[in-house]
Amino acid sequence: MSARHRRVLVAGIGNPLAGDDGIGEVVARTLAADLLPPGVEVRYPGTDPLAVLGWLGEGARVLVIDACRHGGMPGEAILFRLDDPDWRDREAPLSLHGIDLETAARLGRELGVPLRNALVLGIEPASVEPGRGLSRELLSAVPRLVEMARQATWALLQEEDEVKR
Amino acid sequence: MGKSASINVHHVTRVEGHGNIVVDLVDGELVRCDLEIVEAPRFFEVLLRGRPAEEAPRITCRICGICSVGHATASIQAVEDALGIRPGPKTRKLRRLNMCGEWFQSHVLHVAFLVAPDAFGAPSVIPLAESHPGVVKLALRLKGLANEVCYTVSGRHVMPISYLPGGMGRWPTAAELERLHRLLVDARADVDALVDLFTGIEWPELHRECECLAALDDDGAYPMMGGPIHSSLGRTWPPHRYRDAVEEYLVDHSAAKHARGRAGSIRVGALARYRLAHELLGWRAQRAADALGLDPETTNPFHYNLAQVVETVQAHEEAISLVEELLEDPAPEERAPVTRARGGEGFGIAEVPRGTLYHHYAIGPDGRIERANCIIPTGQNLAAIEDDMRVFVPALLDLPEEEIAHRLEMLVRAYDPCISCSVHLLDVRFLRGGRRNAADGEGGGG
Repeated sequence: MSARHRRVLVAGIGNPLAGDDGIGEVVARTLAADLLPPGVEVRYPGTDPLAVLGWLGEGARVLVIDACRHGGMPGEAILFRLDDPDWRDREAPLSLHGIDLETAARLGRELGVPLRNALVLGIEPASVEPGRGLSRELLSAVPRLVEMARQATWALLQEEDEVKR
Repeated sequence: MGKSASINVHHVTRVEGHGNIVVDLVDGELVRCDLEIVEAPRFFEVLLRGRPAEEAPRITCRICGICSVGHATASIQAVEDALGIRPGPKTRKLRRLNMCGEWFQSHVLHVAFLVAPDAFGAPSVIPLAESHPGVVKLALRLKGLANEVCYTVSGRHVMPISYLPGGMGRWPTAAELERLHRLLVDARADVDALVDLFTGIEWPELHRECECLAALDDDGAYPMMGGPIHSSLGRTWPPHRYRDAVEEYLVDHSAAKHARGRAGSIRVGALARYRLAHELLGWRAQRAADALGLDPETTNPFHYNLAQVVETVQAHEEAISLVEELLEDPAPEERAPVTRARGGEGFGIAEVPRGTLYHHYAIGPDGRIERANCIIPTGQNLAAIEDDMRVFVPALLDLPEEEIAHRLEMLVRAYDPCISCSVHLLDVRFLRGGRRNAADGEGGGG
């Protein structure tokens, strides 16, 4: 079944072998363990934010959950649209991957991909050094982050419903 | 008096990871020409020690998002070899299908996102998207297709966690395979367009004879799933004697181990495979090689880019064939049994996009990994890159320093290094008489 037939994809981005870079997958997996509303599917694109552009191009709405240095305290999350013109100006690179989310978004903007249909839950990591498991700060933040992801997912579903009405 | 050069290019872009090129040219004499890998080693062998053997593919696939299927493949093969497990034919086909997906994804990303900007005169993929949006859209479509292959096989686009000793933890349904087959067949025009894109492009002239190594499959298929190690110098080694074919060594300027063969530096990866096994390609891939003008005897490392395009065609066509074969009997296959429960040594070899990947484990009677050794393709190519630079730089001396640096970046990119795997971006730094310019800073990437 193609993504174009679904309404919302939740993408947990990151590498669990790189400390807190695994937070995206952990939050997405925890969210997936609950009964999700019809039309919501969780995906794990690893360290490949470019996959998000493909799904947006197929008409899906996407919630991206990713470790992101936005200058907050470890575990603090910000929620923004992928087409938000301000987030590119933050001090540190937004994402921690080779082709980062910011580069993917710039590419999508050039190609006319509907970036507005994606929300990003960017979570400040404590450490992304190679190793196993999340830092204590992020472990304690998981329940709150999952709730933020759940609310963002509902917001995207409601947007989709409004468009269809 | 000859030329002295001092060029400093930080963050050579469009490679995976961080490193530096340091060139010291004094009075026309090349004093130093190093590829520094400055990242802290990841020591993933240490991560494996003491872990249950069946966890190894799930850990090693996380080493790198680009080579994740390759690591999972070599890892599961090492575990199965140690435990005396021979997976069934359908399992082997499903794993090869996933490798086709990774080759397709990795090669498309490299040639269309990282190399194409050089070919079309753009500084990076973002301006390329503005000047040649069709190229980038084509690449995104093909990459999306590759994602679908891996998603269908393992339930994930990268970093598959479905590899189990003797079998697979996930088996695609007939409907999923039929959908994938449609997507693959429909993409033939896009794959042809990719070949057309790179037809007629002129690459820098750099010819240097170098030993090529590749592990050829036992069943006569194009090298992908491992087997005896073959050398372009005519020698062959069984997998367990990999250390006779490839000797790792330390150098002061690199956190990644270098490697050499019997006659010095070695090349592995698409160009080496093409040289050693071009006759095993399918007809569409051979047609692509012909259109691209790729000579099996070429010694020009820039032709890695062309070999990757050819292998993209091969991976695509093989994926179609494998899906058709799996559809003949799509029922899940039983896991093969353990026949050597006391453990022992196991060797896993996979031809991943960048070259030959070795995983060698010692598994104890408790089923836990006692020792592990992984030899990464990028590490095997580092010495060859440096040897290429030593030949290349003197031929570039009439060019402006900025252009020399650009050509060197192109050379390194041609090998498609994955420094994340070998230990992570590249700075190019020219020295003048052994002294770094104050503007060089500390350098060192990430």
